[in-house]
Amino acid sequence: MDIKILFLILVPLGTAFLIPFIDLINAKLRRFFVLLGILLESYLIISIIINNYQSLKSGDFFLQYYLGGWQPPIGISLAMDALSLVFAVITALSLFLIVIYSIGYIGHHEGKYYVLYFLIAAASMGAILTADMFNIYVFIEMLTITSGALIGFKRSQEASAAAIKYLIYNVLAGLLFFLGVLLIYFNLGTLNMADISQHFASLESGIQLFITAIFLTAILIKMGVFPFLFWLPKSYDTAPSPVTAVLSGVLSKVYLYIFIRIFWTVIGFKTLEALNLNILLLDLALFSSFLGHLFALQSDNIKRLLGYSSIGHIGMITAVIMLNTEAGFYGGILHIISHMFMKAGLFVACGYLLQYTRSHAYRDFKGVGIRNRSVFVAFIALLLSMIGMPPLLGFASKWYVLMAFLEARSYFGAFIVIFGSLTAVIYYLRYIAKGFEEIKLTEDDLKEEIYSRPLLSVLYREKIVSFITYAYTAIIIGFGLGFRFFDLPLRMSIESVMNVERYIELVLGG
Amino acid sequence: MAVIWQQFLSSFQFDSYFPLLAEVGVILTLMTALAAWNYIKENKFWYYILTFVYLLSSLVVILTNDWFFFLFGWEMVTLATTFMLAWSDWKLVRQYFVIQFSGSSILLFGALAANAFGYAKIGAINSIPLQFLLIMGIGMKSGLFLFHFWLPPIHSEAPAPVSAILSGWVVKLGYIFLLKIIPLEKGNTFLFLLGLAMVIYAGWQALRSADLKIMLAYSTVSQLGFIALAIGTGGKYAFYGAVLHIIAHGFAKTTLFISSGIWQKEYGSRIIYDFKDAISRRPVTSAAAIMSLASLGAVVFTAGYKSKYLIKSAQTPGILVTTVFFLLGFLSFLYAARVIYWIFIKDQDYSNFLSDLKHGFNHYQIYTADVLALITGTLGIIVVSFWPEMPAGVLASLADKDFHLISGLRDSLIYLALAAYLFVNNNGFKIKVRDNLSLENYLQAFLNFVYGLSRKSVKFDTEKIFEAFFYNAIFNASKKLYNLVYQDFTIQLLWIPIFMTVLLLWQQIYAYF
Repeated sequence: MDIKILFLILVPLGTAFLIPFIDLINAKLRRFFVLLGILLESYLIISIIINNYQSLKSGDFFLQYYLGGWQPPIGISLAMDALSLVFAVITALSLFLIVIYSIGYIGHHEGKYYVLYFLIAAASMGAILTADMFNIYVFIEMLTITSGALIGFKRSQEASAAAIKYLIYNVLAGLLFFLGVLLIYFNLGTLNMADISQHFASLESGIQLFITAIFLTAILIKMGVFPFLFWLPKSYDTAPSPVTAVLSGVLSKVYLYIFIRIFWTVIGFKTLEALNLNILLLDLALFSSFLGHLFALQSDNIKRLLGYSSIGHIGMITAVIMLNTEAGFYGGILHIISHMFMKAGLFVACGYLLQYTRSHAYRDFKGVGIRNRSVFVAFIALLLSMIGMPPLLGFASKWYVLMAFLEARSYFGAFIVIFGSLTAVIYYLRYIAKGFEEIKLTEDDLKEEIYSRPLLSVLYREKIVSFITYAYTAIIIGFGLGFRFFDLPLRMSIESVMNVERYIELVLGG
Repeated sequence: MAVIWQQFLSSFQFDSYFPLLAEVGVILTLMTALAAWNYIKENKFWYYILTFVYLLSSLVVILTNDWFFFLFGWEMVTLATTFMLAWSDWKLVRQYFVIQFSGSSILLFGALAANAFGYAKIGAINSIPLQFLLIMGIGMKSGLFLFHFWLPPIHSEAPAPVSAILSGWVVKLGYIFLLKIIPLEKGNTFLFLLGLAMVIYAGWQALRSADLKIMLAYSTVSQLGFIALAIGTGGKYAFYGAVLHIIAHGFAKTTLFISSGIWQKEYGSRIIYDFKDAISRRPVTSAAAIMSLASLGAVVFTAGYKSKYLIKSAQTPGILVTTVFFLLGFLSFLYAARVIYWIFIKDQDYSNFLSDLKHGFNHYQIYTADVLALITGTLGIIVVSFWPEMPAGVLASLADKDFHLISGLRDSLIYLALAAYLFVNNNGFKIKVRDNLSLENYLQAFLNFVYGLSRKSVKFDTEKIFEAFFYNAIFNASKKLYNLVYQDFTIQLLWIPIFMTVLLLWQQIYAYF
């Protein structure tokens, strides 16, 4: 029993509910309150790591909390093993950086924004920590609805359209997920993940297949893998930059976590293998990655382009995890971490660079690099990391992913990794060259620019915004040199993914 | 962190000839740094930072035996040298980066494949397909035959010190890597043939070019051919010859590119025929250049002669080998001697006082740093030519090797006589100056060829072609695919039931296959 992991969810939830009341007192106080909330969250994470440092090193780290004191098979319990700890740490770090960025970036309707933002924080922490199927569904729905509202945050026509599309897809996925949870409950009579995992094999194979298919469809929709990738670029494009950073940096990674949790811990990889679905999924994910990179080539919009490249990378991560080898998980989780920082950093930088342009289109990217030289240099460094150049983190993760594919003799996967970074060179270089092009403004351009610029979007705390961009670049460079820092956490999380029996024993017997 | 540092340090291997090569690399980089002191005017600080990064990472590439650090170092070399090109033109940066990155992607694939097949450390690789894969990866970066197309345009357009770095040492890193992975006993026939093709083709192109830097770039490809040929041959003396040639050519080419920079500033031109009377106007530069050109042309008593003799002696002896190597040597000698022929000529009219006075003043005030760089290069060539066993004694057995200097002298004299005859009768091979080489011009030539099949030649705007044709072809193709996949929203949603049906029926579908 460790109440700290409950507070990991409660702190952001409480912050979200208190913000409207703080607004009543003083609107300026809100920013400090927001900072206080996220600092408290970071303090909790850090104290968990420090208090359990010995058990982390010896490899038997496990924390649990029973809600209301009910024991696992009956009540809801929160569990934190090494995998969830790694995800919780990186999610909290990302959320921390993006909150500071938002303080500089969001200039209007701040109150609503922070409420939604902290609900996302609470839901993602909850989805990572919970050990209960129905609870995970609740948090997923919470994520969907809050992020849907944030995507439509600009209230333009495009933004609303994207938000509706996003909501249709994700609510459908949520419904499917709910159906899966119901099926499990009616067949096994339990909702605890460890308990389900123990008894799942005893089900009939037809029902096993049905449940697996439903969960698979739901989670693939959420992640944006091939047949369901349509909602992703549109919503990435129209959302404000910090929201996009959250969507691609946090949400997609949380869904990847849920994917790993459900298909390794709950349903079990053996079931997938018995149903021959692992081969289908591997190739589907690789094909999705291929399509993502190809679509990025034709994109005339930098934020959509980054969205397509996200599809490419998420497909690659899914594929390398589907190999179900230690090397695969090592590369996959390292790439999750590096992609989280790189993509969030890129969107953050985009938010700064695109502040004075008319639109996100390629032709308006002209001269961006000349106006904001130092941020553009950071942007280029992040792009170089995306294509995998040392000494940046992208190189290390690409290395391990490629090695995992080659060790498993999956040459299609290896080809996709190389193909991805080669096409990335083509589509990124185009934008870099455009950014350094001289601008020759005509009178009409000037007029259009002046009249079309929404005045609200002008940043009023520019220093904070550029500082966060540099912070992301520094993280990428620092961990690129010291990527071995992740060695221990990665090995711990692989251990906890692979060793399902231990998880069951700890949840049920502890 | 501590672990990776230990691993990094323990991955260095200080045996065989690699420490020697690393030392030579350091000396060459210092030479270019000296030459750049007055050549690079803007952002000097960043230039030297990049040089420093390049120096450290090239040392890692040469000395490490761990695949990860090797590729890490190599990518750092790529990155540093790429940004050095920015002192000339950003277009070059883009082109060079794309080419180098695609090369290193193949190399990364090859390296990890080797790793997956059980070669945990960099060492001799016996599997022929893996060797082939790695040679392909090297090929793009180090300009093997057919992949060398980028080398002359980029090496000739770069600023002189950067050309010296690129041509003198960066391209050699690939061959140093090949020295590690090709087994000493067997060699590799494919590499041998590639090398032979490079020597002949690039030698011919060097003879055909009137621009000094383009000629030097082609001669780089040609001399790299000798190295590839030597490594492909296999055997102790062939490898020694390759090592010696890497060192000798490194010194010679670095010196030559530095002196080409000085001549360029003096005459305001890069055409060989303009360097008239260079011997009296720029005596130190010309002396160093003559020394290096003699080494390129394998004149007896120079470094180039020793290395080429070693390579020749490693082949199966016979009349064919002797003839072929005689002709190959003659080709190198011709293009080297042509430059010397033109710098001795003094046919300008200095009869009136003003032009005489003008002639008296040099346009470029040579600096101490330049002279130091040139002297270092010349000293390097002299050391290699008279003590091929080298100070460190790694090539100790070369001290007793008989280099057949008498026959070398005979060959050199024959070369000299033939060359003198050809030059005097053909006006020093004075040919029309070609347009500047650039990758866009290559593209244009290719497109002209394709269009010319159907109609008469069309004049293209290459800038636009590169943007409009190359990019648009890619974009339109992917746009088509995009439109195919991105249908109406209802059809997008239809994927959900389709996908679920496929999942549910997957057992049957799988059984069907």
